[in-house]
Amino acid sequence: MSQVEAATPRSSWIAGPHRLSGTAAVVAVAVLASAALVVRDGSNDGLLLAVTILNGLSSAGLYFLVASGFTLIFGLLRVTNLAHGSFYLAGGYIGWTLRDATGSWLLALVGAALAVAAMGLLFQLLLLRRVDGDPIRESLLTIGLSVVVADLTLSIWGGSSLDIGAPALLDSTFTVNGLVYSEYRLALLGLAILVGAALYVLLKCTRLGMTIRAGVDDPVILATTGVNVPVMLSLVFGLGAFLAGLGGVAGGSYLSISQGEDARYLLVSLLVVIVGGLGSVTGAAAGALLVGLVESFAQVHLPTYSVLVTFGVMIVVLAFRPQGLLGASR
Amino acid sequence: MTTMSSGLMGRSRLEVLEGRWRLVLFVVVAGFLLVAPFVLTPFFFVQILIRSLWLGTVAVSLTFLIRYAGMISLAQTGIYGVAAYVTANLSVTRGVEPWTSACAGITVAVVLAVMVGALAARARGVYFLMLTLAVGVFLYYFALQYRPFTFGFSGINGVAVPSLGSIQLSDPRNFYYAALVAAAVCLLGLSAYSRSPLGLALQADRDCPERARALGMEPLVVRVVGFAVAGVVAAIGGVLSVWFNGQVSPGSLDVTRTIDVLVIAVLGGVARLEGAWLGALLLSVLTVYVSDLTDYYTTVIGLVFIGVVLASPNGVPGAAASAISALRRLVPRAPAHGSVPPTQQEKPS
Repeated sequence: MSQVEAATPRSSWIAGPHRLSGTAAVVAVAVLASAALVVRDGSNDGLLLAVTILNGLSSAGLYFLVASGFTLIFGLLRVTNLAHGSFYLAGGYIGWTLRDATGSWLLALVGAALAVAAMGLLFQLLLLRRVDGDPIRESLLTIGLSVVVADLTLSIWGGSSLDIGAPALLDSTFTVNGLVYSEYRLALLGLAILVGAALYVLLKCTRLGMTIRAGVDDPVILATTGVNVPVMLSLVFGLGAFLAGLGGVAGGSYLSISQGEDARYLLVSLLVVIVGGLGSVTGAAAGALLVGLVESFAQVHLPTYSVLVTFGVMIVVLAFRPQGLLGASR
Repeated sequence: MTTMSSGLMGRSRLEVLEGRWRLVLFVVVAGFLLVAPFVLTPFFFVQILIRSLWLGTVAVSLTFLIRYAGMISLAQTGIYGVAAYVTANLSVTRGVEPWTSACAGITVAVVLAVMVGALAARARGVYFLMLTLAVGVFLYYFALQYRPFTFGFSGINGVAVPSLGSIQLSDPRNFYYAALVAAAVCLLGLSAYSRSPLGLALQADRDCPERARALGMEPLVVRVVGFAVAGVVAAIGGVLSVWFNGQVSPGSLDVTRTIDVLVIAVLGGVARLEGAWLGALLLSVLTVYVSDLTDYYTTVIGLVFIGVVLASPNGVPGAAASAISALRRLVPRAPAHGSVPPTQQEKPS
């Protein structure tokens, strides 16, 4: 309740009536500049442009997988979970061990995601519940968890980067009109679309989703109707951790899993959710697309400073439109 | 009426007693700090005490922001890192005189703090934390990637420690006293600032921005100036660190270091600014001695941090204080003169 209020005091954050036109102008300039860039690239080297766009889309898929969990936890539950990147990292490492032991990629994907979900659930039940509703202490607690997870994963799996490897079925490339591209990365995009659609249906079209949204808006009234709200919120937290673990395996199969990735994916999730608006699955998808494409183009045009571009976007969005570029309804 | 006045007297007697204890504590700590170089082993003295002095100076800027402005800034490491980098770059690669480089480093860091403050001042609570986290990570990647100035991953090595007149600060003892003086100046400066009109405005804005605005204050300006003041202290910590370590690298301002500073502020408690140095001492001791016992020392530190966040909002000193008062309640003693039994006070009149 007070949390919700604290998260959207729009009037005190953004002074002046000209804020909307200012944001619109910035967005318009950004869109025009990137359109010009794309057209120039397309006329110079069509293949490069296609690969850049495909890279952007598949990164967007991965970012969406991780950030959709974050939008459940941070956007819907309003829990400031700064350990979300650690969930990603733990998922990747556990997935690597499962793949190594059994050889099955699918088992690694599901097993790691379930293990991370259990870990998240346990953390929520044992510790996070004790500071219920205090965002600052929640963020401190989850920072503490991320320190512990980083240290334990370092001592179990070591400091060198690991690669889960793509599943055998998808571990090759395909060729269309001279364009060579990885099958796995396209499949990843498909997985993200699948997960996104499932989440959307769950939240918008099922009774459970309705209950979740009701619990977010008014937990007290929902409890009076006989729903066990704390259990439900814990389950949603577990689902968010599950998605982060899923992302860890999916990402670790074509990128490497290593220390430091936790901070990166936490920040990417923050960025995606903040760009897309809190608590909305479609917003997270849009945010992931934007971040993935910006990053992919930045890697082509400014290879050294591409990370800086990503975080620069994040700082600017947080400073000027903290409710998100698309998030206006909440 | 009579019970009330005697109750007040009892309280003031207690305060006098507490004041005396505080004075004794101050004399003991100050005396220890002055003779420390001569009684401690060189390892403890250099690796723990001097380290705690500069880490605490960085952390006190965060303690100050949390205590008086209600801002949890994760950009303090970035600011101290910028001061360290500018100092190192000017004095090593451009041969600028060390003191001038240090002043330039602090100036650049403070300009950056003003910019970050202006960007972040409109966000509150968790959003402020995220924004400053993003700034911190941005600066880390900048240090990693902007090789012409920062020399990438390996950073800048061989930073010489200057001398102060005829005193060679490269001698650990002299450096210790210099760092002690710098830390004390930062402490006194911050507590003086917190009592100044601008500092009071900062606290008013922390408690209720609407009222502060209604009283004619400009919250954004008050916050940015407060953030810049904290930036000066973090930058001084940065200069101390680059002189102490003789080098600076992206590792000096990565997320791990950011979390270290946060852990220090939380362990030391935010009720008093001095807590930052206590927290730094605790973290240094934990790091050095727990790493002898187990390889999982970072885990131990993380768990201690989680425990402190859960159990004591005021860090280790707060936990100690509540332990002492719990002990006092346990030990039976004669009721103080004129004190009223609690049951009698609670009765409705």
